[in-house]
Amino acid sequence: MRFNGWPELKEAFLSGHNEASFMLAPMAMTLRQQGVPLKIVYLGHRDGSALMVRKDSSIFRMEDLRGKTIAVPNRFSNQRLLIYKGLKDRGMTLDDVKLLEMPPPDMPAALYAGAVDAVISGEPFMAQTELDGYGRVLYQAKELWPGFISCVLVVSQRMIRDDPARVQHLVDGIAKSGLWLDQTMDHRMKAAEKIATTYYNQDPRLLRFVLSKPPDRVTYTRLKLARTDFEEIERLARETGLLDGPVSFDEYADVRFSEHTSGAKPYAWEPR
Amino acid sequence: MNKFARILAGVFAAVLTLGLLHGFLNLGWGKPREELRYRVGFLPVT
Repeated sequence: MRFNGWPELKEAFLSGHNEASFMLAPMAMTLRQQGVPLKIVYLGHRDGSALMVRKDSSIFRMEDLRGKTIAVPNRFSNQRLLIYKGLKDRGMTLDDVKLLEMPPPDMPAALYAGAVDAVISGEPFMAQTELDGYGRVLYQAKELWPGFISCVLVVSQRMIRDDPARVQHLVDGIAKSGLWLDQTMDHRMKAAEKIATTYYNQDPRLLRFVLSKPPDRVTYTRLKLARTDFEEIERLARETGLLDGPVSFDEYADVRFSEHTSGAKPYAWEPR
Repeated sequence: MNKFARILAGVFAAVLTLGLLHGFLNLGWGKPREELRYRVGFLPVT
């Protein structure tokens, strides 16, 4: 089920309408801390986010963002933590910028209109500003945070309890799809065509751009849950006040399904 | 309208009603598609 904003997606999951969801990592951790019966079971992708400014902007490095307005997807997004980390690494704080929450699909227009000075979100909305000729990459996420994680696969604890085989089937499918996608550029281009028209309702040219310029702009392998990745997210979330206390990795993550994907092989399917 | 035309109109109305009902109830024609076995929420981001 496709959503345009994170709050609606979160509510649909909480209501039980969606038994599984791709969700922002800090959002999932915070919900678990608040007692929501969910578990993170796999990653959606790595990297695939960019911090964009206008092409004619005088912003060329993190320090130039002082006093500027930056649109982030959500208060509980890892992109917000990425900004915090990038500023912190350069001796700055979140107080040095103004953060504005905005649904990712609205970001390109906001940047074009000059309503904000910078935008950050998962692709393809950032690449859209590049393709349309007014956006410039200030940083790819991996430059500020190597191996950046944005979305994670979350399932309800009820689904895990009642039908763990279905959870494993879902995770295996994502693992095999990811391996298949990263196998050849031809696979990526064929997937871009299919996904853009069938699921995303976007211009296939945009997804082709995102999946190829550069080829590692977003990656779909190394999706197993790693404790150290999440401990870093947790530390940053606590420093920024998203989490109001410690929450253990074992509390919000269930690695059984992820571990089972070791040795997974890409789908043998070849596009016609 | 003669009797034959009335029968044709009746058949047409019945088929139309059944067609709309079928679509409204989302019954589908073939086997369920593989991806419909899970209800997974997502945003159109990569």
